[in-house]
Amino acid sequence: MTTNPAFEARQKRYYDTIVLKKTDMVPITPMVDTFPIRYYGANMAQALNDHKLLEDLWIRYHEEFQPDVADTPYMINGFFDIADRLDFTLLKWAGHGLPEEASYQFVESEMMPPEEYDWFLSDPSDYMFRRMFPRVYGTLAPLAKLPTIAASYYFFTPFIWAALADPAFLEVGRALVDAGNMAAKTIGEFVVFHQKLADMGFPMAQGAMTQAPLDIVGDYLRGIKGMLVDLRRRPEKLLAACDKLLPVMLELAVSSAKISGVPICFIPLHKCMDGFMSQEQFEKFYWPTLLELMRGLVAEKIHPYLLVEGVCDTRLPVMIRDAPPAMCIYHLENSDIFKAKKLARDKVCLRGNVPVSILMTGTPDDVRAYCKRLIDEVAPGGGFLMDTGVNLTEAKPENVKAMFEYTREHGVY
Amino acid sequence: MEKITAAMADMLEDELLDLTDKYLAEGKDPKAILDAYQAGMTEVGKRYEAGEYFVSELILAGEMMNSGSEKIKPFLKGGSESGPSKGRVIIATVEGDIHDIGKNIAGTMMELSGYEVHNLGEDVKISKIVEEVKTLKPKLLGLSGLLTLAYDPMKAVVDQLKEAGLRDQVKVLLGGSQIDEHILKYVGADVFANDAMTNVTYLNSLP
Repeated sequence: MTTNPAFEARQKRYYDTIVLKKTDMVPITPMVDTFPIRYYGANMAQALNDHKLLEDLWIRYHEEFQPDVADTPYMINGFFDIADRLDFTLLKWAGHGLPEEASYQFVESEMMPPEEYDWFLSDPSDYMFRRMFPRVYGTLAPLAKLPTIAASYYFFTPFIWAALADPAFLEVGRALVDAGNMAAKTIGEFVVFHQKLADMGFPMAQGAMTQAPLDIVGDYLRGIKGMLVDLRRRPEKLLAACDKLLPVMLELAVSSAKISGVPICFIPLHKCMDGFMSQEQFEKFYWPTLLELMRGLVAEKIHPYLLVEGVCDTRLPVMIRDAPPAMCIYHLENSDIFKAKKLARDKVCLRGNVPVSILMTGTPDDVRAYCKRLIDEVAPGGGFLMDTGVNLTEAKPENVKAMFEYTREHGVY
Repeated sequence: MEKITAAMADMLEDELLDLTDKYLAEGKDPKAILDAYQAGMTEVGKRYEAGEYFVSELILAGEMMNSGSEKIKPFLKGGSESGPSKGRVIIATVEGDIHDIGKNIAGTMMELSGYEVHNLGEDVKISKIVEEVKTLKPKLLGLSGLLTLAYDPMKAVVDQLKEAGLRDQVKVLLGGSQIDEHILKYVGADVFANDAMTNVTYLNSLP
């Protein structure tokens, strides 16, 4: 908690906007990603590995731009040391598999071959622990040698422990203890840093994260190609996997929101874009478990914050129609936000969507023209957060300034 | 052979592969079977362009095509399994970006449409791309990138092609779901694609 009145004012503005109440002005809530690192001239690889430097750069950003919500440098940037210690193979970052200036990227591939669906479906924890961890974390490869914990009833227990006599587990133990200490340290820094931002007047934009069940299958288990062919080759297994993941993704979100005390859950959507699958498939495979997840969050008084990546124009009518009313944020990247507004009034708070292509290659006048259109067509009636399409990263600083200045001047209700 | 074409076009994987086995066992002309596959593939492409099929069908069709070719190849007697190339294409994900899925799907579609595709991979250095254009003299250079950080390397490739006097000899296509007309102008390329068939349509439209 903080006693800074600016914090109260911004928090009220942000939350009132989400529940579609009238506010004094349009909040500005950009996803900055690595913009402060570039803008203030720091070296990307160095900054990504130096938490003190990251925090200094983020403080400068908040002081200079005065956004309505706090942006965190600790989304992914804060955890590369853990990824490095565990030899996590699904992430590359500046100086670690990528050029010095290239921030980070996920490696997506088919981590779960189709014949392993049944193992995953019968016991996802066992599958993650003994099959997925050894595959994606180099240092955890020995976990594949363990017998299943599910068989650890009374008499058999000694045989389970005996497996740990393998000297390889010494290194597994050391790596896990190190990763645990690194995580605890970074989370501690995160808490202190966000208290500092709160004292400066900036409330957190979100306090939990989860994903749509089908995205978990597509992003981390089957890969997008595997998931897309499963739509026709093994639809029952794909649906069963989504059902299995639904309570897991809900629990992840609810527990994190309770710990953070911030009832807003970030849900980036990856595979629902127009073009990946038919509308019929979207409504059968993607949307039902995501909608259940959102309803589960709303039942816990947590706001689902969907980052609708890419273009999802054909999906949005259904997504808006079914949304729990006046509880959700839909952040549109390249979808037609002007069309969406016509459906979203009284239903959903829209967020976005100054195109990154304009912020990166256009002029301040181009940015002002787009912001004007957003304020004229999407802001009326409230329920609108001014943001970029997706993260700012390579935006020209003068364009970012134009977005802030124009919105502050003209985005008054 | 119409059954092969129809099974391919309708995404009936099991039926397609069973038919292939059956026809090969009966001693039917393997070249004719392969041609029927390609006709099916053309129909898949058409349905994709018409909005009836999606990326999921393109991927599955590519896998069906591969499984089928594996079966047919041993029966083809040394002869060329496809007609003469309609032209050479280079594709690459530019420096700093490691995304490959869209590029590879686009590559498959161009290959299946009769083009000779050289896929340079991901995170490919600017100089390497320019060098390959110089050597291979392709009709089209496809630069792919999902992230905003890809735009500057894309621009650098085009600038260096100009400096090397090669820009007039090759069309440059940008591929990626975030690419739009602003980026096209910024990079100085000829055309952009947010989907897997624009490449083919564009190539077919070239003289």
